[in-house]
Amino acid sequence: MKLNLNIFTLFTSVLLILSPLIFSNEFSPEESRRILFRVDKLVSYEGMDFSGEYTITDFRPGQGTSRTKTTMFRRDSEDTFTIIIMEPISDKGKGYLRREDKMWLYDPVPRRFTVISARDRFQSSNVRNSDFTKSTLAEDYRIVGHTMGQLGSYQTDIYDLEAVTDNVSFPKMKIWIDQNNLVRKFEDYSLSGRHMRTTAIPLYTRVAESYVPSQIVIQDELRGKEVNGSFEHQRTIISVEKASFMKLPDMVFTRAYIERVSR
Amino acid sequence: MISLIFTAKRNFFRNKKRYRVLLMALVVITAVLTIVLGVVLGMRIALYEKASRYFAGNIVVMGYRGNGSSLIENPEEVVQSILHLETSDIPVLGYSRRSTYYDFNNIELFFSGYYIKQRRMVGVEWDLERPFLNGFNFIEGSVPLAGDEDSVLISSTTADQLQIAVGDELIVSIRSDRGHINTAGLIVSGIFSESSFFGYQTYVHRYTLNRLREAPLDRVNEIGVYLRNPLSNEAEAAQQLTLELENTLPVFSVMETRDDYANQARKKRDNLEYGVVGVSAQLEEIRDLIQAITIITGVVIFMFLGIVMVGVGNTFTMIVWERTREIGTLRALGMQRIRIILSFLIESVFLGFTGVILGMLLGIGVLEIIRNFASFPPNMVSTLFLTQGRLYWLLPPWGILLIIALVAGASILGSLQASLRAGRLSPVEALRRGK
Repeated sequence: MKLNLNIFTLFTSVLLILSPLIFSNEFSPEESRRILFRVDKLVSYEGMDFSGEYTITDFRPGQGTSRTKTTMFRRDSEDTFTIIIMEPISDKGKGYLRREDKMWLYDPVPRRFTVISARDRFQSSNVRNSDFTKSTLAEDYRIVGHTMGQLGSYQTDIYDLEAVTDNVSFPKMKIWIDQNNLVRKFEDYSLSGRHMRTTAIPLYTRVAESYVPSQIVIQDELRGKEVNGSFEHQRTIISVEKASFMKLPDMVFTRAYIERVSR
Repeated sequence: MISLIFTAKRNFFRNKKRYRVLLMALVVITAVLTIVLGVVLGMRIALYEKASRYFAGNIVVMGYRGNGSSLIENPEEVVQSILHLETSDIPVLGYSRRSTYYDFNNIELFFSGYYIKQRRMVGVEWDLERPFLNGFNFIEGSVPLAGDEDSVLISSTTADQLQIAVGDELIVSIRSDRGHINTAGLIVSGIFSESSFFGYQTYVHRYTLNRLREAPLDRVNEIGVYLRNPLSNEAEAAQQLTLELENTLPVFSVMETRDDYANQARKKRDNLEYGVVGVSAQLEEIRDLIQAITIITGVVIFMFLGIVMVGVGNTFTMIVWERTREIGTLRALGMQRIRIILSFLIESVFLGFTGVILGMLLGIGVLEIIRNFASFPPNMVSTLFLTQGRLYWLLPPWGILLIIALVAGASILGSLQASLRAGRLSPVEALRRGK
């Protein structure tokens, strides 16, 4: 009996000592980077060019809906993209160019480029200019928590992320990753922990070895209006069509190109 | 001389029917002068006080390194220098220690789905600035209690846009100095009516703003000084404070113009250097606007005074003509030319002073009615010049003396030619020509 008690005491002590390691949600930096890199890799197109037609529909409760149609050209290996606005007519010809850390907006009326921030809103929608860049979760965030959960029909890993760089707008995030390592949902939080934005990606299109999000729904958690007794959030839906990984001429990622196509 | 004054007084009251119209004109012109001067000076004070509240004080200490924004690394030394101002005979009402955040794109306020952008967020110490922040025209609520880090003061325009009231929780979102979005839930403590001329702004506790910015909690960006007589000694105080600062800190100069202020902020420096700027330098454009208004008003008033002078001149010509026989008799009895001239001039002085007294009473009455009963639509221009929603007036002693000098001067100058002509009349000719 005495021996049994000692074994029990020893076992409990070991369990107590190791419990933080066994039940912890903490991830080592390497583990964190490995998981997030796997996620980034599926939606980043290193070594190839990407182009597609983006339709951005903005719903403003009580104000109506606006639609922006754009053509996007992206080259992740050079961290650059070009966006040309096709619709609405009033904004037709406007162009966005990102090269490394710099970003410009071209307005065809005064025929002028102005420097803008990647953190600014795209055409006053809930989308930020940085949302069009390649996914860099592994570089910008580390995992600080993990749970499992069901998201619709998907069994997902839910990770709590914290920014490790100052390059991101939202210092805290929560992401839902399905069994195929695709991000199905993420929530953006302010530094103080306020929920600012929710993004859902219900549809992906597989093109070659990569995945292209073909529908993205972004909900602003702070903006909205009470309509017929219930609160409706401002929402933006992005639909991606005609996705292609065909090689693009270098010229596409220049200011001269934007000026030419905007004429 | 006393007999002359009595004669002039008697003649003035005898001819009061003839003077009636002229007196009315003088009363009106004096009232207009009183109203215009009182309103312009009152507007100037209101604008100056608003600007002082906006810019942290009547004179403000800035610390520049060359990146365009101010930082005070030695707040204790700066405050000591401000306290030393008292020993230089510059009375100080108080001082402010603020952190400030300018970024039109990244200051947002949210309430129940509504949102608005702000140009500027100011971090203050409620108790330190209470006497000056109480100068706001509060539509609802008041300045929060000392040390309250969870309260916010917003403008009425912001409150209308957000449909928020005192006691509601507002969400403030800014981009921190590290580029992260940061938020805080703050309770609206007061809603003030303020002009949008300087841009919409929100007041929070200094620690709250620093926490939102991910900056050290005790960071100070500007230290301002509220003076007892700012309009008369702002420049002197700025100069004196610069000298005081020089004793302990590296100082560049007093920034006397808006351009100087902008240039100093951008000028590259190896180390942090301090400078002092007065509100007047920040208000250069508005000062020009007020000067332009004053000049236009001055021209109109001088035109009126010219008309009054012509009126006085004509009336006195008539009076002299009517009293030619009387002048002849007085001259025949031995009255000197100079006494004839003086008797008419003293009459005009009576006329002028009666007009000034009645006109000032009328003007001050109108100013009081405007102050107590006139309401103005809350737009950018009117709110800029109002104090607590009212159009206050100010008439300092020099203003009163100026009005007296102008109106009485116009009356005397107007009558001068006719008086001289009366003095030149010979007794024989006057007795023959007179009625």
